[in-house]
Amino acid sequence: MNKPSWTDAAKLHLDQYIEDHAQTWNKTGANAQDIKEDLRSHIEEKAIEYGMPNITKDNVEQVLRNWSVLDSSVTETDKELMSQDAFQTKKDKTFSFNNLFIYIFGIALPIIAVIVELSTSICSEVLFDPLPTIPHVLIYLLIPVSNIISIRACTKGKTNNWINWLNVMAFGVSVFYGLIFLPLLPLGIIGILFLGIGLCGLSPLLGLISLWTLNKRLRSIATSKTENVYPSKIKGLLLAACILILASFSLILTHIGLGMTKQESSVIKKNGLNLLSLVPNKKHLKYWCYFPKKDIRQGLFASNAQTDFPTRKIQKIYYQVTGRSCLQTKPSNQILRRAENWRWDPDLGGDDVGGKVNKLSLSASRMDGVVQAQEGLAYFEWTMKFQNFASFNQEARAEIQLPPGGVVSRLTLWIEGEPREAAFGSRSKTKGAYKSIVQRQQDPVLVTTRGPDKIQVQLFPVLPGGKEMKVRIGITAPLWIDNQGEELKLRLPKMIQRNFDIDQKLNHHVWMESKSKLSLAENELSKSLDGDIEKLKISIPQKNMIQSKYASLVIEPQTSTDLEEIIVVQSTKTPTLKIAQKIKRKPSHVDHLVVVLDTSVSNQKFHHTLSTVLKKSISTFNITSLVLSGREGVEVIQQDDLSRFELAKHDFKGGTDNITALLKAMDMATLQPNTGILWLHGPQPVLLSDTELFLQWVARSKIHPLIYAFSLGQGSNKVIQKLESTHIFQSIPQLGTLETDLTMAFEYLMKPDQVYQYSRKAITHAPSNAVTSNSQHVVRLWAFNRIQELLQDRTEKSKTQALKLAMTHQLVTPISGAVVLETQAQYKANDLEPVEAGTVPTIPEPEMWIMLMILLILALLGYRRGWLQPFKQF
Amino acid sequence: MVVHKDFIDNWITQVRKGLLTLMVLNALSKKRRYGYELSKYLSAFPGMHVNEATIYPLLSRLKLQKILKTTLIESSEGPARKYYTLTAKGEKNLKLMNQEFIMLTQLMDTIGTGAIK
Repeated sequence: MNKPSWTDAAKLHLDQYIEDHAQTWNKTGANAQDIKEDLRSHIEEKAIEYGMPNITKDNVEQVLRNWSVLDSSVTETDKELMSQDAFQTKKDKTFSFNNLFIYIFGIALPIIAVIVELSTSICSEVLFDPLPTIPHVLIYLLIPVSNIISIRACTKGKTNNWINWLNVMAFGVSVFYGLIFLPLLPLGIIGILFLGIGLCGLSPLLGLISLWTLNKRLRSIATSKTENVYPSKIKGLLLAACILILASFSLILTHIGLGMTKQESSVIKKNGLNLLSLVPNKKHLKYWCYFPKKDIRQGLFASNAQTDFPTRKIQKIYYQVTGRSCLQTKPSNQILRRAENWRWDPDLGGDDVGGKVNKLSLSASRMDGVVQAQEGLAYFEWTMKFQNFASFNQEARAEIQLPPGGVVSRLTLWIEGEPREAAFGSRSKTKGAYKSIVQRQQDPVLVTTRGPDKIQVQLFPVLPGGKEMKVRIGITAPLWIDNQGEELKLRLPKMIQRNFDIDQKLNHHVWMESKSKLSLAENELSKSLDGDIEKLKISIPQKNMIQSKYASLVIEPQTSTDLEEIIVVQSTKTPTLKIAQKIKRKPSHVDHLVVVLDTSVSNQKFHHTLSTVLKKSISTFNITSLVLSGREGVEVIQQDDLSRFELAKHDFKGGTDNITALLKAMDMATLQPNTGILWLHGPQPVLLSDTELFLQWVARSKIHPLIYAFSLGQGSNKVIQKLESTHIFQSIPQLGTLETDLTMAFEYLMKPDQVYQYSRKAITHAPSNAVTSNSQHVVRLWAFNRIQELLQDRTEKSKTQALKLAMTHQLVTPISGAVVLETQAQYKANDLEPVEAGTVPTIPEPEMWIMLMILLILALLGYRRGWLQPFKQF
Repeated sequence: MVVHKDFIDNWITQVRKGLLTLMVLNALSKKRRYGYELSKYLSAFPGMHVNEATIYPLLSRLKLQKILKTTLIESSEGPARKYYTLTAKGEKNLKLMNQEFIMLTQLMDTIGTGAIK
């Protein structure tokens, strides 16, 4: 610190005092000039110690007053006075005021600001995120922490090098945050006046003032002790800059990477994606998948910052970088909190399942079913209960993988405790009805297809405050014939995408009944026999639901499946309709195959299996080419080069564009007749290309090679969802492990002799050797297959026929949906009619069986003991 | 027994005032110090209420008596400081004063025990 300056009045006062006493001092043998120099020096040292740049007349007066006291006789009171020097008295007064300021604005306010921001995200929601990571929070907390430590040091008059460094570092931090918040200063002041919350915006600036004050005090203490080193503020600023840059490393890289992806040059774009892949913390990218990213420059200096990256674009980039959907990864608490604060759900009433919403969960799940082995089918009902602990209505959405060839044939929603059956109508009509009711916040549920063997369920509103909403989906599914008819298999449905939570400990209670033996591969089961009915009971924890060993139910037919047996069913809906069902060897699907492999990072874990099965299949089957969808583009390996193909040499990176790869495969498939496409894909949560080119291709091309989709991992497939209307996607049954399913996929397509399947057709006269059955599920499955065939025709007439069939047999198909509305008036307004209770498929409730048995036992007991005697006379 | 507190306090002050010269010279015998530093140094001892009102005239007198000498040294932290150190004469005098003080305390002991009658 520089030498403090004297005010003229102070100088004059000291000179006057020396002049008054010079004679006395001279008489005692002292030199007045010497004393004046010493006294002057003494006052200056004191001023430096207490960080006072100016010496006033008051300061001099107080020093001299003590001199006068000493000159007189010394008493106890005088000693007390003597022990307090002039500056100490002054210091205490300043200290009290300063301390109060520091306690309020330098300690309490920054802590309050951090708590408010972390709990409400008020600043990050409106403008920008000042505390984007935990290290940022800790760095900001250096301000109050340093102030607490410094004020204690000042009170004790002792400091050390750590305290001094901490002070200047916190000073630097407050300077940076002060600069960031500087444009918000007017807003902060208005905030104080009107809302009282603007103090948070002012907190860095007020913290800076506190640190500055303490900095001066510490410095004066430090300079009086030769062992203390006091670093300069510049050093503090540099240190703060270093730690802030270090803490913001991921954020800075993310900004740079995103900026590069906006460039025209494909090389820069590619490098941008590579850079984003290297960013250790993807938190920022994920946050912007949910909430629009604002322009960083505008974010700092304007309150109405514009979005420079829409969320959809960031979602695409996130997928390209990580190979995963940001919406299907666990959202951070910050995202959930903000979503809840804003009651934010962009997919409400929409076509996508979207990201997870907060405090909505599946509270109970049960599957009740019956396996009709003779008819080669199963019907089961999945009943689910949802609970919402948010403070507002929320929509539950889920995408469900059905058993192969399965179809939804019943939908029930409980409204005020009463089950209500669905209306089946065209897809557009049911969707329209659902959306209009959602807007009015009333009770609907909608089920539509999302590609082969997939449906989407959405129900609204799940009422707040922990209230439950119950829904039941009835599924009719054919059994899969395995081991040439020795075994029948049924894959249980499972959720592949959802916007609600499921506790990993939640059990899905499965209760299946059959006249045939039932088992679940590799699993101990609770089974019981009730007459000739076998009952299988199992509770599958959510965490096991996706495992293959729980996926498939194995049914052992009472006798080996008779390939010649014909089952005939008379339709109850259409009296003239008779359906005959027979097991047939499956006709060959294709002669040539183009294989498309999705090399997204999500498939990396299947690398070994893929490599093994592909190598074997390339040498066995007529595979004309292999198309790889890479992040850098599509790579085609022609038939001649396939024998030298090594999958190990290929990188599985990020999320790849499969639409472009499929288009390439379709071009190649048209080169030879009867060529199919086997698409080995991971989840496709994001569309990286526009679908118009694909739709144009299907609309204009005369040849439509079918695409057989084989899913390598669990997850939503947006490509199939968006292109469902093309009807060229087919699913391949997956009932076991990846290796067996993948091997079977090639055989299923190109080696038909090994594969058997149920064939159903409408007949007028039943053959003499036919077995009669009354299972209407056979009719439903026939109708579903017929609808799929009609849709392949792509004519309006076929479409109308298909819709009529779907309506008659109450099925959810690519052209029809099911919706439950709350009132009859709502059905009428939407030109829909709920199905009659007697026309829906049912399963006798297990509880009902128990009730009936108890009644029967009681009746028998009553008869034997004579309780029923009085009734005998009637 | 009633203790006259004011009397005792005044007596202690007078004794310490009388010994101030010795204290100052001892404080400067090992290390040179500037006025403010010396004042703070002595005040740090319990019961010492040394103030500049007495220190600075004393330092001035001792300087004029060639017991002390001063050196002006520039300081990076503020104004140049006037450091006081003992002269050779000052050191000799301090030695004699310390011997005298020891003898005085011994004398006090002797008076207390009544060895000389």
